[in-house]
Amino acid sequence: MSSRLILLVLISLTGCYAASPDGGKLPQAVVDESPPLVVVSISPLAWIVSELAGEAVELIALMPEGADPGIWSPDSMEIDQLMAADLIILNGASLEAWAQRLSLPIVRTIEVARACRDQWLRYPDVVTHSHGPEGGTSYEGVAGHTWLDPQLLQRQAQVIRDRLIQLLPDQRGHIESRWNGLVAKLTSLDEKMAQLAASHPDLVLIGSGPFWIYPVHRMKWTLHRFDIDPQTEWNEVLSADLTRLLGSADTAPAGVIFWDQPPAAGLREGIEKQSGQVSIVWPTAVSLGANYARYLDLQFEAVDRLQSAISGAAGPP
Amino acid sequence: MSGPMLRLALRSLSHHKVRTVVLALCIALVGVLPTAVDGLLELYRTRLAARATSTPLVVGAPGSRSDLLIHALYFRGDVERMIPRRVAIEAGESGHGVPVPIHLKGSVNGHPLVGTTPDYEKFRSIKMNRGHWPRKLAEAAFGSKVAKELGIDVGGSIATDVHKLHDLAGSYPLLLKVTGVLSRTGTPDDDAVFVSLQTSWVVSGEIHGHLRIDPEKDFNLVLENQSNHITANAAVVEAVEVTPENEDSFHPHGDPDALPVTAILIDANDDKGATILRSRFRRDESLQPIDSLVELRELLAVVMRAKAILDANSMLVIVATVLLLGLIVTLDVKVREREVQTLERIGAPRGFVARLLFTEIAIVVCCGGLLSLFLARAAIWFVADGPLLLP
Repeated sequence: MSSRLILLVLISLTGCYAASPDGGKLPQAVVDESPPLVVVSISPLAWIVSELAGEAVELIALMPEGADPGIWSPDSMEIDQLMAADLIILNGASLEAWAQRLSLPIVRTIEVARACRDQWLRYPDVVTHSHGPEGGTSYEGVAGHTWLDPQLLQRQAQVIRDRLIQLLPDQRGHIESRWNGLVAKLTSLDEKMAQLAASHPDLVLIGSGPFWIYPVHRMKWTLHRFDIDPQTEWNEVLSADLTRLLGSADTAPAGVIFWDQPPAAGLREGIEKQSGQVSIVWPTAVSLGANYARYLDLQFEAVDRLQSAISGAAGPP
Repeated sequence: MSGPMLRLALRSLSHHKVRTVVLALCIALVGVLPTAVDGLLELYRTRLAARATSTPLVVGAPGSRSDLLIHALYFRGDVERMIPRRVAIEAGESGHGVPVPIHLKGSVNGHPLVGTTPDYEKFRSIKMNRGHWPRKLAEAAFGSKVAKELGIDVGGSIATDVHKLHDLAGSYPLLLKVTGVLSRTGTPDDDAVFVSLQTSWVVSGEIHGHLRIDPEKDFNLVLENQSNHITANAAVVEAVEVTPENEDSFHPHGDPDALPVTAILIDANDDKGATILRSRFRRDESLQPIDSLVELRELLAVVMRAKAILDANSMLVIVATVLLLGLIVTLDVKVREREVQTLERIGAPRGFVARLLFTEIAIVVCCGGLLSLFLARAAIWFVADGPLLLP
């Protein structure tokens, strides 16, 4: 027997070879009957998942109601949920700042905005940048609110549909049949916006934030950015900024200023009194908490309000 | 070999203790080198092959293929260029496998600081001895050997090494929080420190945070203080610490998809998936896919050519030793002439003396050989668990 053979026998007997030949991969034969866990960062995407998969998945809408994806961070329990998820759905396009600091599994995470990367826009320049007493997010670079354009949301939904089918191959028929219903709803919203755009071409609007850049771009309108926290008190500085903005615009604005949430009464009245701009709430609905199912209704309501406002029959914002 | 003959030979050897021990030691020392080298190379080859088998496909930027292999699988050395994280995301989106990105640019007390995703833990079937895999910024899981060497455990903290002392942009060590210690794997993972990709990017300067400066307390750091902003100077900060207060300020600039990774390990679903991904990577000129086993065989072929020279040298030494041993035996017979005559006079049969001498030599050679095997085995054991063996 050669010395080499003796040596190998001795080594294997004493367990010197710690590494198994297959590199230590273990068979994974875990049978789990519970529905797959899908964690979704923002409400519009949670709505898409619920529309497509229904009860076939356990859906967690991650962000609590009213949270800003730019400043919110998951706590340890929410991180546990993310780590346990079978699928993590993010919007991407730099929207979820927390996701850029958290280590997420690549293959179980999808950033659906990547599906419309060719149509990404950049936030327009800011005129003023008042975050209010609590501070806020600085919106610069690529605009992340892609879902507000129904056509882009449909492309994002397509990615979600494909991943859900991959996750639930047995549910393919179920998901595909629900897909048609979802497309019909999104098309309906898109057509409503298209009609509004056609009846009011080349409108110039003011946004109290940068969020509406995608739908405004789709409608071939122009949005001037005038960042104001809705809870800010009306003051001389804002008044001067607004005057400067209105004076610098090439075309006179249509008399509408968008808000993500209802502005303080004083602020709304101050703006209306000085410039005649009517406040219209068009919620981004980024974090509706458990009410994510209301996403589409909120968008329809916003478009109705906008239609009334630019037709000169504005009701409450 | 009869019992009395063996007994007589043993008595003779024990009578000439020094000579016997010296001869056995000489034989052992001549044998230990080739045996140990052979065993170590076999161990080395087996471990390298096990790692390469479990990681069949690796992608990196064009450059030295062996550098990429050693870097991605064994966390040693550097690669010339990096590739964007986008490659890993797109590979994952293809549905043909799990891409495991690696960003290896920093170190902790000389141990490689490996930035990766939680996919690595699953890919290598890593078991945590204590704690959990890093999830947030500055969290780190230590390999079993490095944790033992640094005497560090869950709840502790340690700073990364500073590589760019003269970096004017300010490259500060990052204080890592130990959140986990891996179970022993017998692989390079034992000697590595694992962090998230984001943490590794902080260390390499791809992601940064903003320190909050109080101009009243930190007046020595203030370069310029205006009504709406404070400019800090580049005074040396001992280590950057990620705290709940400043965690939110860490951010990348530019496209997050363009953040660099040094290599991507591909855990393909099956052979078909591996083939599709490999051909996709080959079509992209900015990427270099390598088949780990093929590359390893080429690398080992070079090592084996060097070993052939060593083997030839060992053979010459053995031949020289055998000749010297023959000379020593011949001289020994001369020295023991009176002893031989005495044996013949007391009636030792014909050929008895020759058989006795042969028995003595056989015992010495066997002892030397066994000692050689024992020493080689000890050397392999020491190196296998010590710092000398690469993988």
